[in-house]
Amino acid sequence: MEDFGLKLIIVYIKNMKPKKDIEAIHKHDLRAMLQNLGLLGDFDAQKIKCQFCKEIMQESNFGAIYTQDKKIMFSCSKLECFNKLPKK
Amino acid sequence: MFQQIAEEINMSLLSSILTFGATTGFFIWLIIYLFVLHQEKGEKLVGWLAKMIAWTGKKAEKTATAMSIQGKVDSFIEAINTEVEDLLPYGLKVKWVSPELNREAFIEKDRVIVMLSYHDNKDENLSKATLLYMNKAVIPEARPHIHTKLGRAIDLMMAKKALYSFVEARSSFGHFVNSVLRPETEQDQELKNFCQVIDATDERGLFTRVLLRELLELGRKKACITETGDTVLESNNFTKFLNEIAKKEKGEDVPLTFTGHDIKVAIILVARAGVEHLTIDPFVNRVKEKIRQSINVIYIFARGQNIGIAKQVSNSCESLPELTKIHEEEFPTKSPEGDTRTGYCAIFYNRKTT
Repeated sequence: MEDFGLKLIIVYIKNMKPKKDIEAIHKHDLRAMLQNLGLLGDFDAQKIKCQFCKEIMQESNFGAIYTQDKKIMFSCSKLECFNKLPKK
Repeated sequence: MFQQIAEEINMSLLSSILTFGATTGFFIWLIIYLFVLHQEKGEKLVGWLAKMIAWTGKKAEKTATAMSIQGKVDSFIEAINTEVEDLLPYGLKVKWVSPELNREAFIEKDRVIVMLSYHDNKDENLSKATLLYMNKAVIPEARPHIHTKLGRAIDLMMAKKALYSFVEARSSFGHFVNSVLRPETEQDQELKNFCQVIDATDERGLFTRVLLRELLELGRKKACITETGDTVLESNNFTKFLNEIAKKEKGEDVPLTFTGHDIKVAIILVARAGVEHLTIDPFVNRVKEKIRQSINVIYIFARGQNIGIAKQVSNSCESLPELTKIHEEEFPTKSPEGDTRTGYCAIFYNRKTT
């Protein structure tokens, strides 16, 4: 039985791959996040645009929020814009 | 070795079924199967269970969203890794970011945070996560030693392959081709050429099994070595070599041996070429000749009715002391005429050189 347990651990560890993290925010938490970043006012006033296609960012087309050189930027949910996000 | 251990575990589980009774044994087997042997299937199950209780709160919704993405992408990784071990060395993990993060902590490092939602288009969630995951997830160590456009073509084509494999995300596949792949390749002829080469090699089963396997090995061999441009040239030439094989017509002769500084491979195509009764001797002799030429890796490929002969060649090669068989599989492939047939591939390492 001990031998069996050891084998299970070996297979478990072997199958445990290192993971590549994808950071995500849930739609329900978006407004809270923007509030904490001090950007909710601009977001509601429709002043925030997609960095790539310049479309106004709304909850319905929100793709991603990203940082580059200490600046906060946004991408809409269109795949062509999403594809231009910086590669981490 | 791990395969053997997994089989032993299955046998031990069988005996536990006999010892503890069918029901208890079945549950023990199920838990081990889902959470030890095939963890990606366990993730899918947790995602499915969380989906059933997603109405209870945000946490269950988040679990359902994350697990369903992780389970699908990890299943793709698992399938690809059966073709080439560790080709995709990382799994995917959706890490929920706290909305409490203040501005200073947020901009402290370069980050990309994707918005996922439970009720909206799940297909879109999956395609976004796949695109982010695929960027440099394939052969990361080889990147400094291959052309940047070849690297980009590999990312794009692997994303396409993954999206195509998610049956429930077929609309994303079409959308990806029309809004990402096509516009990007139309603006860049070099990138388009590399994508076409990958398409051609993939149809013949050469993309993952030969091209990516060799680039993976190249990256490992060249780790920590400063690139001077020679290896980039060699990997480009190797890509062209495989393209010629992939595009070759029936009966046409093309070079089947590549001897670069780092990549030294021979492809043995077991085919009839007008011969009614094939014997294994010419193919085994060719393999022996490649061993004498210090070729590192020998690939045996066959299609359709030639698979039986190819397996005999492979069995005969196993008895050669210089060779170690590292892989053997059958897979769906396309013939030059365009019809789908079963393909066969066996891979041998030359012990003397590797």
